[in-house]
Amino acid sequence: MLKRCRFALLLVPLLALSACQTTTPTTAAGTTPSALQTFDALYANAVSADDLAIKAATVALQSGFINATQASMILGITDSVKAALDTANAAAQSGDIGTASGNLAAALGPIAILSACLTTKPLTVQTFAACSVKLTPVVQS
Amino acid sequence: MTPAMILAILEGVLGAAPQLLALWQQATAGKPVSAADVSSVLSQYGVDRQVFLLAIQKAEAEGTAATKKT
Repeated sequence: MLKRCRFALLLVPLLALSACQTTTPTTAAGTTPSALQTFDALYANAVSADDLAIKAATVALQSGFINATQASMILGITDSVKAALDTANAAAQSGDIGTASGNLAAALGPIAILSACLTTKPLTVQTFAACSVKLTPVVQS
Repeated sequence: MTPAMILAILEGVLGAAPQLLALWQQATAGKPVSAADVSSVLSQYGVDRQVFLLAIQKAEAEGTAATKKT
């Protein structure tokens, strides 16, 4: 039940993006942010999530849990996720909500898999290698 | 993107990083971010990426040195 409620909560931002023009959450101050402001918040939080993956990977590399080759692969993934987010942001600024939501959604998958791989217990070069074969980020145009 | 695909992605997000839930909730609570907030996030991202890149270069150099020793 709890899991389903969490799914429902997470569905809100994506559904909001799908119907971005009608997004009308209200802030504590009683003002209503625009769809673009809502997207800015999603963009900033998604970049923060990508940043978290980079920080975790840095610690994992420095601790010897992953090797330099794997770290380079992670950098490539996080760079492509950031590129997808930047594409989404640029599209949102120009009113192309379809491209914006598509790229935002596409960026979530690699971040999720990467985070899962970096939090694998025990994290070793071998377990990360087995997990990371699922990583295939996509930037949609 | 089908609902099943979205759910699969979200399940991955939940399983991977519960703290993301808080981030999304913050976004959906309607709390707008300022241009300064976005700039700060991007700046921090750039710093952390650079630290990661340097760590990779250091690890590669150490790996090369170890290989030469053997």
